[in-house]
Amino acid sequence: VDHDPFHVEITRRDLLRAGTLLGGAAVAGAVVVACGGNATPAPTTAPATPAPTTAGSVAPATSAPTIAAGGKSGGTLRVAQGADITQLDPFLANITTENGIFSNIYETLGYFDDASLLVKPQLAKSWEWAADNKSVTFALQTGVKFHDGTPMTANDVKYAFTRMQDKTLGSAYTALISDIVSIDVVDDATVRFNTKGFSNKLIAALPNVAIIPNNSGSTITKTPNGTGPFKWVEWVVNDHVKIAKNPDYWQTGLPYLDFVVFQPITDEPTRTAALQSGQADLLYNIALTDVPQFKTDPKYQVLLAAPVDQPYDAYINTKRAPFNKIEAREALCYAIDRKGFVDNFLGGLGDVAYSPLAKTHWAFDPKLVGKYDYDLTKAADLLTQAGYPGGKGFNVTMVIPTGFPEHKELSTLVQAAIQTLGGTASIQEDDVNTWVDKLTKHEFDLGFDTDVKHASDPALTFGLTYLWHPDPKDNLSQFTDDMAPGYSALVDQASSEQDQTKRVALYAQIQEQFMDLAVGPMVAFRAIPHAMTTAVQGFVPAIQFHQSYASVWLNS
Amino acid sequence: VKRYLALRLLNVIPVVLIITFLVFLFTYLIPGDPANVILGPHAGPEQLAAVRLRMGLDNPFPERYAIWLSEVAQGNLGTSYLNNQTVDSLVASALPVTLELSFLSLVVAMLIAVPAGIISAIRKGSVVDRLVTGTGFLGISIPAFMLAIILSYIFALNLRWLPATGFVRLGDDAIGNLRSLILPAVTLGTVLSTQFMRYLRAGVLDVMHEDYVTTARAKGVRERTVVLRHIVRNALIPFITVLGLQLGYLLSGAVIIEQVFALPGMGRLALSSLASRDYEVVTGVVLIMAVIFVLINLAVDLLYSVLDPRIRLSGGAR
Repeated sequence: VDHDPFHVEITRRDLLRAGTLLGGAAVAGAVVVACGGNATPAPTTAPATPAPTTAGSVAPATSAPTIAAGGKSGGTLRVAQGADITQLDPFLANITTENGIFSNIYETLGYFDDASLLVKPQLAKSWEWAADNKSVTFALQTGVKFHDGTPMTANDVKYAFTRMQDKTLGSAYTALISDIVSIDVVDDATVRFNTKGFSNKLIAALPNVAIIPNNSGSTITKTPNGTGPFKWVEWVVNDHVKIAKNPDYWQTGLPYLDFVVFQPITDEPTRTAALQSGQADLLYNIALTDVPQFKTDPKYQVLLAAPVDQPYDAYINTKRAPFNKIEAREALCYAIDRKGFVDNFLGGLGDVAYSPLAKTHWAFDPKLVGKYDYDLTKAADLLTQAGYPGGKGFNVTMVIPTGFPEHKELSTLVQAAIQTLGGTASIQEDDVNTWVDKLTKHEFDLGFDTDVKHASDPALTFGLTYLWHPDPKDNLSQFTDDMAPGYSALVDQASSEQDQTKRVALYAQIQEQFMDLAVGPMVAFRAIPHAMTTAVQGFVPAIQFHQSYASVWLNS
Repeated sequence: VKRYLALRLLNVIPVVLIITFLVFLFTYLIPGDPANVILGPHAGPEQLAAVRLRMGLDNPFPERYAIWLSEVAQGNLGTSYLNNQTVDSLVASALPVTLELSFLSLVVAMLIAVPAGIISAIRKGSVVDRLVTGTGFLGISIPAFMLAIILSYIFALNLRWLPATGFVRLGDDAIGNLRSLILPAVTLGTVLSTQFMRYLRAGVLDVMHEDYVTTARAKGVRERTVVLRHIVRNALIPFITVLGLQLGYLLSGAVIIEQVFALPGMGRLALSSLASRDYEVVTGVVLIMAVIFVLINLAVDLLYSVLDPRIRLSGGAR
């Protein structure tokens, strides 16, 4: 959830600075919903992703992404979104709006490819693990310049990763690169990370580390300076952020737009009105229930990111009654009408979640399909086993942040189910900060949220989505090692496993164990819709909100 | 009068001290802090502690307030915890928006309220009067944000005469600036005018039957002069009090209107910085608004003596 409580939609997907998505790379990850008239909506299916053949879940690409041709140059794209950014450090970006802007200023060694759900080379031309798996060497792109004109070299890469390793910075991504032991600059265009061993996690984490100029930690938070397709212009708080075309961009021909202006409009009807009255060209991240309104109007188009990485899930307080009993947690899982939620509150544009990984993910365990399907009879039986016969004494305190209608709808749905079971459920609605405070102090029983699950690699999904891995002991569900003997060892093993077939088997085991424990019920993956005028071309919705505008152009 | 002014201005200091202390205290007491905002819900205690240390948030409350006060005394309002911008520059960018909006709203309110209030009082019981009091009642009942949505639906979405959102700075484009403020100002002004109208109508009704009005009429003074010089002028005195009080409403109403129309003013700055627990900005904004509020009240008091020379300012000529 976004940390701006005045934002009506869902925005905080904690994470990732993925690289920009360029050119012909990935249209399959997004689906155009036909606009105009009575065309039936295209299904929002995720791409069927074959299991990668090479280990490390990295495509063996060695060249820069190809560039789509045919766009018109010039113009200003005006993007309206629900919240303003709060700060300028790309290493600390953890809300949608920051990711969506910084992704155009900064680039990373590898970017998250939405079509394949893999990390592909960007500022690194290629990378290779040493024979002993104790290091990985990156060959960097040459001729790349920062916006201030200085060339990007291995020293900058070393500085960026060293800065990210600094725990006092407070970045959520520091833990993602914990497998790096030291960094060597081999020459200007080559950098080597010495590691504890082979690490799937490390490569998957590349899109989270923006490459910034050497020693620029204190200056980029005033004037952002990256290698990306757009340069920083200005930020007028609560009014707009403006970025301008980088004429010296290393991928020649891009970007098309002269400017992109991001306007924070917190009030939802006003934001919609901004598009309809012509003050905005694109509404970023609209409510799913608003999709039909724009879809039926020939002046607009709606583009959706596939529902593969944004599940609604829950934090459960596993250290106090009633959810200290596994049966009570299982009962809860059976009491969530997930299909009803998708159909009624997500406008059908979502997918029931059976695991933290989407059904289309290469590591998804197909055995889990159908697990915990809505069944109040089973839930009632389990409650009896847990010591709450007839739901008596099954009292649940739910916490939700204000300004997020879908969280409230989901909570209300579950509240009704709990009451049907004979229990009681109260919903406490607080502003986002208070909500975070209650969660971190464990003053709750149940709290729904929506989170990026790092689809780029299950090593991240299970190792670093802090609410589950027993290692950061203070995860919100207080899931600890003693609850699942062997679980974290399994997670660590899968993270460093090179053989893809073995990984699939390991993750199947992990998913089953995780779902059996019911420490974090999964509800549904959500498609992410964006509405825009038909003049906007080349927009490819980013699954993790690292939205690139490099290949966007205006057909006016 | 000078002494009076000096005294009143000195009074600003304790008022501001109390207000900023309370704001500091409240922001300290409400859960969450900027470190939470940066790190989100998944951060561990060590990480939070590291960020708090870096931001100086680990200092106890009285110490933070003392540091802040000494900075303010040197004319430094501080820097945002989050975005590295100084509070001065944030306020300098937001204050003109709110002042402009307030001023235009006041103009709109007066343009509606003064003629409507006077006419409805003079023609008490007529169709015009009923219409005015009727719409006035409606105006008081309707919340500003509702009116904003209705107006924006009609004039921005359907007729497309005015923009629904998007503020244009006066220095960039004067006409665009006015266009971007018309809907917000009309919204706020209309809501405000209903209050003004009622008070003005009541004031005029009170004065209408005073002896001096009858005398004036008996002397054969023209009706227009009677109304303007004898009735309206005297009715304005209680009205000014209301006006002073309502200016406070104007500033708080601006908070909602700025939110609805996405105007980058003081209200929105206060809200967004409160949401992110950006204490220095919250306190800075409140400080500036408190000073403005006190100054407005002072101005209203001074206006009394202009309108009615019988009212003497204490500390003045005796």
